[in-house]
Amino acid sequence: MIHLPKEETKLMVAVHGWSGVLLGLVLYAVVITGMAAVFAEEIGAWSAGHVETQSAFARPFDRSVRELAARTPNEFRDDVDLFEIGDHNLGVFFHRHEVAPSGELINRGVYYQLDRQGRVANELRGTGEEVFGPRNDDALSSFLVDTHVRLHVPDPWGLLLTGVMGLAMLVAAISGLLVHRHLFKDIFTLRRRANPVLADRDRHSVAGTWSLPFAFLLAFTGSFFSFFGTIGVPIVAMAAFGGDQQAFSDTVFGQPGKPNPTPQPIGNLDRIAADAIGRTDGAPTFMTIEHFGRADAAVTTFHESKPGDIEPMTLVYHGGTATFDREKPSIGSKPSTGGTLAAIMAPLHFGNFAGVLSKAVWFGLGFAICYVTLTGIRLWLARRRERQRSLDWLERSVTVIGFGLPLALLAAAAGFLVTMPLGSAVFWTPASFLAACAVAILAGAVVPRQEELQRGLQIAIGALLALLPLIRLASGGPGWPATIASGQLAIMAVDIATLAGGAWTLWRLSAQGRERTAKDSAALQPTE
Amino acid sequence: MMNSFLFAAIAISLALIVWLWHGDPKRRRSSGLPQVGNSAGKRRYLAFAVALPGIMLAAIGDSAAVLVWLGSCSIGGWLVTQLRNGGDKA
Repeated sequence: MIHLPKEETKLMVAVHGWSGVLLGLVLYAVVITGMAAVFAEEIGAWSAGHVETQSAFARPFDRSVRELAARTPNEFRDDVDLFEIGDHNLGVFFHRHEVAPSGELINRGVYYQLDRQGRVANELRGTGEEVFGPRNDDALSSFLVDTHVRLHVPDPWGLLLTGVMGLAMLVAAISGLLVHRHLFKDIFTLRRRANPVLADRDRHSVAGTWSLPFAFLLAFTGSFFSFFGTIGVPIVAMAAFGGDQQAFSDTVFGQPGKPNPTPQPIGNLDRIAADAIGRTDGAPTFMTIEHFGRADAAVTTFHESKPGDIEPMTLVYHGGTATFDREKPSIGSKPSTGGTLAAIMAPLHFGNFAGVLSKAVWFGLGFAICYVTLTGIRLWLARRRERQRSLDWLERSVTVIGFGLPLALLAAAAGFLVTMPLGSAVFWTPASFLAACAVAILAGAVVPRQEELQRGLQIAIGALLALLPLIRLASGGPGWPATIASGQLAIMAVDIATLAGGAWTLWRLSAQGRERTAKDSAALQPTE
Repeated sequence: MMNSFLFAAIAISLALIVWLWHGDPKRRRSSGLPQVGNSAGKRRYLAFAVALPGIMLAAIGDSAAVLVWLGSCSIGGWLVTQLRNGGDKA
């Protein structure tokens, strides 16, 4: 493959190893939560027992929005965002744009959460950041997504941290590519019974080679999302718009045209939604109304990509007449390569461009990247152990985080399932996660042998995986007949996946236990 | 219909990956298996054949299918290497 001079290879190995060891465990946390977040929508439906399958935009909602507009103070009726919440219900945010003292662009207004019948179930007032927190019925999926996106560190630091993790993954992928001389020759070579360094090296390089293109892809797109709002927008706004982020947003994402503030009622939103569904083969995932109640009102509907494509679709309608205007590129007013590249960043990162099939593939790739990260750190440690420089504390940390983190995520799911019916899931979901983290850390400190610690955590993972469907049913979640009758197959699929995952983990541990007992007996016999 | 093409493309590529894995000389040597692996030329043809279904999907213009095919081959190839190695000789 790529042949570097010896000194440069040594340098690359050092860069690869140290970047992996210093940032690998945080990167692992970002990737494993991202892997789960690929199925955030399905996990949300499964955990909260959501059985509705029809989009809120496929049901009449025009009347509800008009009634809400009538009760909303005029100062917040500049723009309206509409999106789905809970069990395919509607969330409506009437708002105006403001510039915070920090120069950041924010939205302030009234956020209505509607129920199945279109009645107001909850009303919140404040900035977007204040009103869009997790709700009782989506606390688990919100927790997963928030952990992946910003590791629960406040903005902008959390986004910057995960962006740096993305860059670290890029550095590791590139340096790994450069140090591995026989990338494709070794692609099938796994010497499991070789010495620990060789075995770990093979595990790491085989998984790394197979997942290499996607490591680049996911790291790049992840960094793009982290740095876009935190660094990209302020820099471009400063360079080209004198620091005016509103002007930047209007130019890049807004609707060009002459302002016309003449009052005019908004056209029929149900007609717009029906037309958009007809044009894109799918309900909108988001709808926004600019200049609500004015003659120049524009309604924009956002859609997932059409079958066979990965670029999401955006349609624009004349708000006053509810007539179709045009298909809009994600950036600017005319189609461009940059606009297309920016538009495909999200589907490439989330893997949601071909439904459950692409999500399952992206989940598998996330698992492979987690495996590469952990085996890489283990290889680094094994090499030092070979040179009599044992780092027992770091080995334990790798075990505690490597197995403790998935255990804590499962505990968060169990905590959510038990407390959601009581209305306290927003508190107990992260609390369960932290409690399980504390237990794993404590186990890491008190369990004398590394193998016992690893095995104990794996048993807990397997048992909790297998128990989750039972906990869900015991806490009042819908049974399989009800989910089949409603056509909501995600609940059954997640049940089967957790049961199968738990059974496989426990079976594997049991097989390893039997193998070890057989080895111990074989070693004992000659002694006797 | 498109899904049928996609599944067929994945199945063909994975079958060829298994063939490549089976005849991989380095893997056979390190596992202590008889040296009857594929020659370098044959491996090159097989590698091209693995990529062919993806090239065809790209030619049709189905970018979503190309990505799903590539991801499936990546995971499938890794799993083939992981799972089947247990049956080899030490």
